[in-house]
Amino acid sequence: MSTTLRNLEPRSGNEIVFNAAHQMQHQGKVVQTITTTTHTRTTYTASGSGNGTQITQLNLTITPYRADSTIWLRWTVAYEAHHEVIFLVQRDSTLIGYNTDLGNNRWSGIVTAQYDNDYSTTPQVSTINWFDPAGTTAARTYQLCVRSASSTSYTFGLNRSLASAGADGQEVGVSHGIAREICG
Amino acid sequence: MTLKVDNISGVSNVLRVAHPNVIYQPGQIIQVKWSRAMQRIRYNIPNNDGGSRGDVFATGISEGGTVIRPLDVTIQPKSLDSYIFVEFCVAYEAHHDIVFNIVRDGMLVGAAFGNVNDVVYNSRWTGAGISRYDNNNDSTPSHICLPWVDRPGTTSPVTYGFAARSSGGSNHEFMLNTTYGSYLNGQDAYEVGVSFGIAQEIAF
Repeated sequence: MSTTLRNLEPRSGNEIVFNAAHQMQHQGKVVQTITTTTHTRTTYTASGSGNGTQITQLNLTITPYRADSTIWLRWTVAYEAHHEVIFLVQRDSTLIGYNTDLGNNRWSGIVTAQYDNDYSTTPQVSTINWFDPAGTTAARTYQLCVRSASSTSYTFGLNRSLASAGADGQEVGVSHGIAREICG
Repeated sequence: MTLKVDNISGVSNVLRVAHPNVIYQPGQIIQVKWSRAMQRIRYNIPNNDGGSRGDVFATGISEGGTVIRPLDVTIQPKSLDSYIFVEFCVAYEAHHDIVFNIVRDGMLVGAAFGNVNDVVYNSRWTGAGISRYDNNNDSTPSHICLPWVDRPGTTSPVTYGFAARSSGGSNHEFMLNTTYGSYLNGQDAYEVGVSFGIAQEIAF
């Protein structure tokens, strides 16, 4: 059945209720949002070979409603790392998020850790975006990854400084990830 | 026609509103548009001074700055009174004497105007965002997410742009997605990134 109308109002009160299993779609609308937050203070190794080390605490699993949707991924990460560490994105462990125009070199990523010449006591915060065509309605997990842009491996401190997991002058933070399905 | 209901259910759990129509409520994100730039481009950034909110800049270089065209993001609002939350997340390397502004159809809309009524004065050292000081203008790109909320008051397509301007007496270069030291293809320790423009229509 198709109905044409200009306005839709509640018969009474201020709410029109959708059953939890139901959804309303139009092109461009955010039809679902998945989030993750991690307070974990840990370290990873960013190697100059391979397709990046997964920061597993920030994994985002989403099952698209529509194959023609786009998944908007966004992470805001508190970390400390050498400025030759870059961020990448994988989907189910396959590298998708990097400068594909340039190609998959170890210096090709999305954003780079800021140069601050301090690799000890002061974390920084970066925001990483990626847009991925859903392609199917199968569940998938997106992984934020780090990789060294040179032959030297570097330590990546999640939510912490490289010097410690928290102390006077050595700050601790919180990191978040969010996946939105933009309806096709 | 106004329809009054308590509940809505869709066929097979989905109520689909045929494109380009929408159903929305105040505060809802009606639509999201984005651009993605992977080009590595070197721009010369002059230090144009002056200009006022609403000035129109037909060329790539404006008083709001040099518009970094690959980041342009176009959105067609569904409603006249919608807000547009626009954000540019940019990987770049640049001198720290550079500020960033936002233009809509070449018109300066997102800037730190020097007047309390937010409409008049615009000097070359005011910006909606500022290039980060890192004392490295060679091998390490920086990045910034620069947001702005605009209300274009139209249902025609509008294009938002990200503009860079030198804040001092010298011109500077702005490297999109790349570094000063190896801007075309990058190399070990000379990283290459990806930049985005994102526009979200928020219903009033």
